[in-house]
Amino acid sequence: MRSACYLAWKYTAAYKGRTLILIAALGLLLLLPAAVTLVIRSYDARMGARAEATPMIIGAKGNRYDLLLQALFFRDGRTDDVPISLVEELESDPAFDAVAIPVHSRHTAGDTPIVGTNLTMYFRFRGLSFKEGGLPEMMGQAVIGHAAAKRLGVGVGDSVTADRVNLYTLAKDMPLKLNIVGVLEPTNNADDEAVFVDMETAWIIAGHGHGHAPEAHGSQAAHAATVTAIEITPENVDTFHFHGDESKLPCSAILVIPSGHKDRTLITARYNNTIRYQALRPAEVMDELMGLVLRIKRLFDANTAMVGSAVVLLVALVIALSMKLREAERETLHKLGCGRWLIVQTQVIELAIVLAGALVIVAVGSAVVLAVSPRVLGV
Amino acid sequence: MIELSDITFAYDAGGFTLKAKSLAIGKGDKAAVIGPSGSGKTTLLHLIAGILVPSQGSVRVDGQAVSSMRDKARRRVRLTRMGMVFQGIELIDYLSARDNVLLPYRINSALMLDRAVKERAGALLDRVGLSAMAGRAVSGLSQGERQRVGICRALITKPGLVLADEPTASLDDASTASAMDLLMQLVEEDDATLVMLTHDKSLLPRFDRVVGVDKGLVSGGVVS
Repeated sequence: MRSACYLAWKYTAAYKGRTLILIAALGLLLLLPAAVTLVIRSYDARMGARAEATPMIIGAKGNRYDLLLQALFFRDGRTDDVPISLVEELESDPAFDAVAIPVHSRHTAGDTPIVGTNLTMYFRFRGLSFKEGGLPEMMGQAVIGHAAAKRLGVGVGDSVTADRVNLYTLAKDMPLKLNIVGVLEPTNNADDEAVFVDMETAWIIAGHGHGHAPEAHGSQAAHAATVTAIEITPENVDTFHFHGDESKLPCSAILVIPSGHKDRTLITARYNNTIRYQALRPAEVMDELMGLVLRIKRLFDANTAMVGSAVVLLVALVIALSMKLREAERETLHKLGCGRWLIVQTQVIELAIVLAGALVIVAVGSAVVLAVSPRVLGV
Repeated sequence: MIELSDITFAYDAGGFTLKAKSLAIGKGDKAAVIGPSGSGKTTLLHLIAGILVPSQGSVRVDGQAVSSMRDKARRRVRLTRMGMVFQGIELIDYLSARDNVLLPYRINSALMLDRAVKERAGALLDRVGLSAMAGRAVSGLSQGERQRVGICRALITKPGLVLADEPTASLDDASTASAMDLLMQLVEEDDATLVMLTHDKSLLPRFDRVVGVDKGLVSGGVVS
């Protein structure tokens, strides 16, 4: 065996170029399906766990998947808003007992979702704890997820600014400066990649409320067009206010935690029978969603199998041609006294070296894909 | 001592048959085997080496009946007691000159590759003027240089019997003379028996004896 290893190693080392091409071809061929399978499994587990941990979502009637992704992963889909009064309605209805947590996730700060919510309730529900700092004490303050803080290079005492969605509607999408007062411990889910604010701050970012410059207090609204960023400070916080019916201020979804199975059934019956709302059980919708993904993956697998078969045939041809080219070498080794079995062993080990190299590519590539996939896929 | 008696060998595919009634080459002899192309010289050499096995008769090397051994035992005899130099040189292109010389030790666990062997390989390469190229891949060497590496490989195990199959056939006159001088010197130093096939009659005076092969018939013991 040592002799075979020696010859195989010498051969592969002498023909590095050829060997590397073979390794790369096999590695890339195996990497694609392996990485896709790993990413899907990882997402199935992570997204499934988050869905399982959320008993119910209530939101506007529309696409179930959009609402699910909006409420759990803060992906701004094409869902309509529901009024904040629905939270009160849910919690005060004597027919059932439930806790309702509003979620407003329509805006971003440097591509990181800004999530407006009832921070105390949301953090308690998700079991989030602080790595640094604590909860906001006034509007305009924010808590940032671990991964987002790392990526943006910010911590307590720093700030992020809400992105403007519509540059031509000055009354909306305030470029509000958010002062970070807390950084969360890592959670390995969507909370890592979010900036959390209270509902009022989210509404101000959305343009539903505004403040006034101190010198113009009572007469002139702060003008978004004249400043690059608006900051809520202890000095001006009292000037911020909302016009109109505050019970109609929007949220993109409501997370509902019923007290029991009966409460959940009653809530589902109540809100699935209305024209405006829908009630989801996230785990069920997630199963449907992953079912769709897996169906697409089966098509992808079939395609990979066909391409793979073609590559395997090509590799077999390369090996056959290589054996033909090396017939004289085998003959020499045999004449010198080398057993035929050693020659076969040598070529098997050469193939094993190529396969091992390909597997290294698969392992490293899969790790890289798994590491970058949360940013690329955004969930 | 090599003894062939009542040998008959026929290739499966063709009608060529080699016959040798009786041939004996003594220890330390230098025997040239001559004959026209296709006469059976290489077949005779392969029978002595145990690469081929006669259908009748026996081949004995140092008293051992090589022709009746199993393949593994014949290979072992070839590796440990014989050195072979080939017409086509037949080096392993992806190995360096030094690694080619040490190849018999690499492919046979019965041979111990120790410091002394490595030093001998270095000394042999130095002797043939290739010490500076010892680490270089043999694919970059000239034909003459490659054949000198082939001679070193044949002699690295200090074999009792050196079998050379027209080792100068692909060399020019200068390289032929140099390779022959070297082969003869090294064989003499190790007191080995040499059996060499050749077409070149000018080389015959260097040998103790000449064996003729013609149309598959071996006529041994012809004194040069």
